[in-house]
Amino acid sequence: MEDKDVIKKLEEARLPEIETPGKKAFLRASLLEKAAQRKPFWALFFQRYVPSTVLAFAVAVMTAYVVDNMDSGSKFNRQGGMWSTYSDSQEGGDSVVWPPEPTAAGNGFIMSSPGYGSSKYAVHVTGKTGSKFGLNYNYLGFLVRFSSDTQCPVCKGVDISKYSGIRFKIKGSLPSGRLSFILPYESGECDTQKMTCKSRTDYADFEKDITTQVTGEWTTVVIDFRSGLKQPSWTPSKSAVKIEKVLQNVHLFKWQYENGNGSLADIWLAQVELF
Amino acid sequence: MDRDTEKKLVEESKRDPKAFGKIFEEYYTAIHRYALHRTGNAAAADDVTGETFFKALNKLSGFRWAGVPFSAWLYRIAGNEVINYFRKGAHEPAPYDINANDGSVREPASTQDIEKELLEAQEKIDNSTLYIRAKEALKTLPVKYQEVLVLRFLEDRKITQICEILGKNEGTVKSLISRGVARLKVYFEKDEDTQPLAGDGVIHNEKAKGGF
Repeated sequence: MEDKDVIKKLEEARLPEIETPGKKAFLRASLLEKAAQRKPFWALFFQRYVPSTVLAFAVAVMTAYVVDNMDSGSKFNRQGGMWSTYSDSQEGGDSVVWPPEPTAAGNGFIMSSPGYGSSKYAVHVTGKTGSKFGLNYNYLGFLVRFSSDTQCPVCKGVDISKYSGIRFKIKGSLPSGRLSFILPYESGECDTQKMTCKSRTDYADFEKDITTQVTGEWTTVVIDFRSGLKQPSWTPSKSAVKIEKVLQNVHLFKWQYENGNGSLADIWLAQVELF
Repeated sequence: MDRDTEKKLVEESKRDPKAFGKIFEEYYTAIHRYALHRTGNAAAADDVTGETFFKALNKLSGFRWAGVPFSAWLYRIAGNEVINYFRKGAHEPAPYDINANDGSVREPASTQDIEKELLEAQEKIDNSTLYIRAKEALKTLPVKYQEVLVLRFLEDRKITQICEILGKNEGTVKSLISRGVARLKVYFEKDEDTQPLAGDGVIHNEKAKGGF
């Protein structure tokens, strides 16, 4: 007898299709019932291991929340929120951005290597602003949705008001122009034509200019939501809103580069966290 | 299922455990079949499969992507459950109605129907003479050989998939397969010199601590 004869015996020993549909249905129903009763992992942890006397302290310490550490290399963060790019080309402008916008052919956003620290991946966006809209009115940018539910068609905002701010790693090259971190304020209504949730502020959103913090080396940008973000000076009175309202209804975070006359941008971003 | 879709599904289930139903539907057949091949017992395979998915659901929030597909993680849990099954010795599946009123497990629509389908499933296994012979042969081997041989030749898994499931490198897996086949060759040669196996479908737990 040879090895191949043994292998043949094993391959011929494969069982025919054997199903137990009743047991499967029972198991499925039991699993889903269990799942429906299931508490979030952190709740079980506190319930089982943390005495109530130290609970308040523990909560105070464990407030960092990872929006995306890019470990997975996926265009989705852990909550299913998607990364994507955008530009004024949607409105007739001639700015260009890479990775491709969701409306372009292909798979859209991709992560790039290397990442920050031990992570293999980071967001890497390059582009060139156009000149159609005049100086400082051409733009390109990228964004991450907080979770799958905060994007169309659900457009359900998330309350992050218990957090003080956001921090992330950034590096790149911005020969001119301005890069801003933006905290948009969106409604629960999906604009089905643009496939984005409608703005409540007509895009006069809370923002911070972080241009000077973008250098060739990774830098940590820390933004306090309440003291570091402001709505733009051109905000119409009907769009003025308190930051608390925005923090109670967050859909996404944006990084937007604005300049005219064909300015290049090369931006790397990693380790996005709330604190 | 490709990795991206799998990942999306798992992350969705982490946020909303009710979405775990999709994972169950995707992988039930494969895990159940693996459990059948490993145990040779329809009731045990159902129990192993059930335990696998309950454990996966309970541990889902702790699951981290480390370059290994989620399905490999399920196979690994199933493999451990098979070992537990044999370690327990005289395994007695719990009656279906044992938890009917504690709010945690629903009562099946018809216990009799389930028992009937289990008997039919077991009959199919017992009538698979070639499988019964292979099972008798495999149960003489240590569990580390059983795992790789079942995955490779009965489950038709690629070497890379077996590496992911068992968390072993390619050289180790190939070596286990090679040595496992060599051991089976000795068994089959001796067996052919004696008499055909009865293939009664009964699992002799005393002989096989950890498998078959």
